[in-house]
Amino acid sequence: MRANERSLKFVPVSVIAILALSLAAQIGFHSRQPNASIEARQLPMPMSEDFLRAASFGEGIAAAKLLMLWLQSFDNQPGISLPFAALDYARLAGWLQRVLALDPQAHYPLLAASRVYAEVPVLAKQRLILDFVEQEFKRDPNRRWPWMAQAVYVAKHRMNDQPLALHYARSLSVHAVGEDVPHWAKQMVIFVLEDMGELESAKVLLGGLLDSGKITDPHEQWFLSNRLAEIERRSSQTEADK
Amino acid sequence: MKVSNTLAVTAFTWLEIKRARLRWLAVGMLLLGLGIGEFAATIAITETAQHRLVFFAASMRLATVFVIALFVATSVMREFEDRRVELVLSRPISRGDWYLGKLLGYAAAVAGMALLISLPVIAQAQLPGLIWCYSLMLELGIVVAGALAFAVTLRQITIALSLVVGFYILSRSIAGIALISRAPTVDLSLPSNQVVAWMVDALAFVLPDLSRFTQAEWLIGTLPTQIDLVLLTAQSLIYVVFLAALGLFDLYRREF
Repeated sequence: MRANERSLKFVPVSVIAILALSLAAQIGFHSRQPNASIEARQLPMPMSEDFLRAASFGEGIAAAKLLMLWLQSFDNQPGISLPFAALDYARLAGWLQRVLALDPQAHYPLLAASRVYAEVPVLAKQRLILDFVEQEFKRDPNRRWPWMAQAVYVAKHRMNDQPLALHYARSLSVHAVGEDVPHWAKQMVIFVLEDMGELESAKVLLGGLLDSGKITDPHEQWFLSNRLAEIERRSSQTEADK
Repeated sequence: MKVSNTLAVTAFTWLEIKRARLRWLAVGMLLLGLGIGEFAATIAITETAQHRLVFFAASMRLATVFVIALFVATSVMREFEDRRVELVLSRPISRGDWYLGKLLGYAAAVAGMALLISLPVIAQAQLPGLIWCYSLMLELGIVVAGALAFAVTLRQITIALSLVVGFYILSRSIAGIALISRAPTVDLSLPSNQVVAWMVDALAFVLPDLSRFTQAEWLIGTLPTQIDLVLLTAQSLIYVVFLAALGLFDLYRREF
């Protein structure tokens, strides 16, 4: 008991009784309440970039990080787990675009788009999100090329859509021309063409690349030369079969 | 306890509220809220009226709770520090009279403030606006009872205010927290997760679920049923009585 506190006997019995009864009533009331309903919420429409900037009080990057975490946890709402396929991908792409607009240096939105959201087994949604990746890749190709390369992989191996993979690979080779972009990424188009059976085109492109002198790494030269030899062998075999 | 004594304290509380010019603060908040709503409406491409209403309602709900909690806590603490409570209690007025008088005075003030704040909402959506206003009064009643009880019990303005804010945030989010603690992604076979879920459940039993109160959704979508309103009223009454008893318990033990 503190010095400025009196004994419990000074508290009227009625006050103690009301305290106990009201606590019991609260517990009883809560136990009779229906449980909070579990309802899956859909992603809201993305807010405008200007509004988000104003709402972030100048902390655009912090707002982008917060938005990204919110977006990432949207599939795990209180008491329910939503499959990614249940998300509205047009809105999802809109939110990812806002995050990138607030924080253009961030890799997180494109990583999530190409490695997480693009893994859903719904072709239309995969296509939509990969198109978003391509659109954003073109804004800063020399920094964002890894996500475009991932888009090529998803189109080729997950969606089994070779023409789409070729389209993304061409986009990669046309736009990502910086010195820091590795040659394997720039030349993904060759490998896609090879897989599509377009051996002549692959051979021409690969031969041209080796002749250009741009490949200076001996290991890379060896790997690409072997690859060219393999393509030539397959090409000759195809000709012979005809 | 004498009703006349309680009403006398209520009248003095009213006088204090009048002198504090709380109504002008409410008018200022109202104008700010209208500005926020109008700003949201200008940004929205569609559903502008809904944006205006929802932004106004949500921002006013929070602002009113904050202002009321601040006002009640500081007012009570000042009364203790100025030893006005001792002066009043030296008269033939019981501690219960003083406490209930203060509670009634503040409750009447928040009812007036809630009505003033709700005028634009009622003007735009009459029945939903009135229901929203009624629910705001109930919610503010709990906040007033909490601020009064915590100020009397803790006797430190910073701690009392922090506790009111924490109590309010926790009460608004406890239903969601309880759901998350038992979400399918939580492995409830682990003892640590079981303890956390149990603690959250226990907390939910003794806190009012304020997420069911004063929802902006009522203004643009589904109205609460009559049973919902009865349950909200019952929850408010139970919790205000509980908090009042808690405050009174400590007040009766206090040595002046």
